[in-house]
Amino acid sequence: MNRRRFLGWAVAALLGGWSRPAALVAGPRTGREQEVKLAYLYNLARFTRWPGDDPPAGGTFRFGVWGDDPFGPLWNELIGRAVHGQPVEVVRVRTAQDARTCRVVFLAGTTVPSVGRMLEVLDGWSVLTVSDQPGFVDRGGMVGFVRRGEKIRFEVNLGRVRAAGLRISAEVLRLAVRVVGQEGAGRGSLP
Amino acid sequence: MRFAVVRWGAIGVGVVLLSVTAAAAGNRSLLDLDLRDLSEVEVTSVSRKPQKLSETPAAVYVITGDEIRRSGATTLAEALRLAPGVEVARINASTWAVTIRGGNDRFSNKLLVLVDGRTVYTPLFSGVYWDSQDLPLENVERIEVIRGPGASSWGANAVNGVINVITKSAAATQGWTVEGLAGTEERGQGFVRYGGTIGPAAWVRGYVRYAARDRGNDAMGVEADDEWEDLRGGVRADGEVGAAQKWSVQTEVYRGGAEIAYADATRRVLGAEDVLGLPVIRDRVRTRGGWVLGTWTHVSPSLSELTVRTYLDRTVRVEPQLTETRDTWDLDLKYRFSFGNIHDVQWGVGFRWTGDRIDESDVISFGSSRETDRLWSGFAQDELSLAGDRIRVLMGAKVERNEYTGLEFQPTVRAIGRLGPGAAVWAAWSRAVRTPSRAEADGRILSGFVPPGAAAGFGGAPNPIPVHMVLEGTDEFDREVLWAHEGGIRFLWGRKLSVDLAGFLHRYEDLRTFEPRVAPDGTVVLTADNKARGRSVGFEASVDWFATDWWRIYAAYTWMVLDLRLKGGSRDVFTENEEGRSPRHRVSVRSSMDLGRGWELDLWGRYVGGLEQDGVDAYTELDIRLGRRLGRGWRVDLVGQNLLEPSHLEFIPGKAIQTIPTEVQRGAYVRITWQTP
Repeated sequence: MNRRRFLGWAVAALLGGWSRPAALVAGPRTGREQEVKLAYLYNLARFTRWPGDDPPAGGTFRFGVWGDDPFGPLWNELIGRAVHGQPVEVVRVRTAQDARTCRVVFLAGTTVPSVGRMLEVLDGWSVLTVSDQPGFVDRGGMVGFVRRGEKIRFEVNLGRVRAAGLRISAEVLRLAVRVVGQEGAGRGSLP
Repeated sequence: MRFAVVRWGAIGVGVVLLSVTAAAAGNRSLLDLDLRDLSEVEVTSVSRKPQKLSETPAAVYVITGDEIRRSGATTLAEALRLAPGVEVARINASTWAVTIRGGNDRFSNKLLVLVDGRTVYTPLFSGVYWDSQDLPLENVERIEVIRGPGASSWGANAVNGVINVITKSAAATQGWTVEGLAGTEERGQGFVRYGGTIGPAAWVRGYVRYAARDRGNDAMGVEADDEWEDLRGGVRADGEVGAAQKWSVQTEVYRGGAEIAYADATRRVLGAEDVLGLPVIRDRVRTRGGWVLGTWTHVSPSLSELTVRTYLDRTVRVEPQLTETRDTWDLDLKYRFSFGNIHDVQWGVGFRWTGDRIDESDVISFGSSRETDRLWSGFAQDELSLAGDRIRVLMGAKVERNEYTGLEFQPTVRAIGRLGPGAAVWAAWSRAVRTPSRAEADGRILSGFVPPGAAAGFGGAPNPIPVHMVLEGTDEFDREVLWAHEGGIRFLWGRKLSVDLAGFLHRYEDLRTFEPRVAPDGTVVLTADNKARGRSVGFEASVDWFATDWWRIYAAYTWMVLDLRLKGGSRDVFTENEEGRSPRHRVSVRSSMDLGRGWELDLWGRYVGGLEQDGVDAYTELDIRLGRRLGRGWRVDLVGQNLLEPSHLEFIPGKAIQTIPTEVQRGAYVRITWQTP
């Protein structure tokens, strides 16, 4: 193939890709894994109530990440927003104190040093724990992401959510693929 | 060259024009979807990076497992072409020359490569046997590529760059994966993996992979005998014990064989090859080995982490000219803690023992056939976050004691400043050393014969008959030193475009030379010495652009110049040639599209400048992959590689132990994958 023909071909290929046929576009909305998970984190925060007598430090709504942050620059989009009227802030969790000042702590997949230790550190604190490590809710985590085919869904450990004094919307529970630890159901969930 | 610039420039302009239209179309953020809609979103594979990187004061690129799959690469060395600034040149079907920031050769001695913290850098010749490290890419979580020195945490030989391969945890590879591949150059591969749970918080997986690769072309355009096959299998388990402990144990065994051709030093008359042709010996290189690696982490109630890692590695390599059996035991301990809200401190100590047994030949011999070396090391670093985390300063150093040059001190100072949301500027200064290989300390390598009369050029009397020329190591050979100055800027342009620019000035001291003398028996002996210095300047740019939510374009450009000088009194003849072993310009453009209904289209164009001193021409190549997800866990890929030319030459290795290069051929393969849905 000579150079001129290659150039023409490459541009045509790119153009062809850009003008994706409408027939192919129709269908379910698509997104990248981390974007979907981040959107979940934001929505879970919006549909969860923290005890009123426990105002967060500095009047911000703080998300924390433990392990290798999978979201990186995606956080920028969240930072301009507010949850429960408080502007969003994001921190990397390095110490127990860091974790306890957060409203939501995300334990990043298999890069977290120890799931058990973080749950222990947050025991008795009103912090929503979320992770995408397999089996997270069975080990005492509150919300765990799971993959179902091409979609990201989640599981909830309602017992742990209640024990932390949090109330999670019934809408969230309805969408969960599995809810565990729900002895005495109804008390902790919002209508 | 000019043609290439015009061509790539035109493609670039086209891409920018398209971007304007595509950006205008826009797309709503997923954050605005409600939970019900969110649970219906299909996750595509055009993934973002795990970007702690945007906060790292170093030139870092992460190759994700998904990028590897979409590239169509099937070997570790080929996958490294995905990272900007990495020079990958295939010598023949089973050997590569890989480096970062210059000095490429089959044994590129200034690049450190680690797989899950296990070093795969061979201390015999200082370099990496890429065929022995051909792990199944399906198991790779990500490859972190650090351009520039990483010696302050990884130690000696992390001079021009570090490559960290991180494999998936057993928790992330649950269920069955079965893959079959067949094609023209990638002859065939079979991969089977199964992962299951062995407790409430413990997982295990096992895998087996066989791969066969076809031969390349020789200089006459005829197929050479360099086919290669490799079989390996392994087990990995990960888990947590109690609240505070996390562990991981993994092991792998492998066995491979590759046909290879060397210049036959026992018959070769140096300088006469144009007339007589190069005498060649062909034989099979056999590799086998295995390793066990364990990691244990303890997390304190304040979230300080103590990590202990140890591994045992045995590797055996049977080559026509040398048989090497090497055992390595390594133990590392690392502690990390934060205090005062601004300090993130890490320190660690390490010990490595390596022992070898060499079966020599007429061509390669060593002062001793067995040797053991011990390496002690310690490092500490503090990362300070200042001005409300707008500025981060990292100071660290590693101290090592090795048996060749004693104590080595390798410090670094790095800083990164945030200029606003999504923009950061960084700078770094470091010192790194490359310690002598065993061959440089007591090896003796026959290079060929000096034709009659030519010994006069090496300071002897004119020789009436051909005499041997040998390269000789010596205890006097010292470490090579790098002083590196680097800096860069990263920024996000809107939501879609991320740009990473980096520049470097590397100053080298005490670089290796070979000083000639004529021994009493007439042999021309070239002895290793440290009589060169040099400087390299370069620029690395990469752009990651999410044109739409289904189309991503990734472009990288690297420019570098290496300038080497001999110190007074040196009569080395190799150094001049080494300057030209790295291309001045390199361009890579990748386009990844999700076409809907499970279709994926990937295009990957590469331009690599020529290596003029060695007579390797510049080349432009194109890979195309068309993939389809079929549902129920099935996936099919059709991949075309190096499509623009029937074959092309990428590299001619240096003259000591010269591997005969072959040309990389155009190829295509089909890959079918099934994963437990």
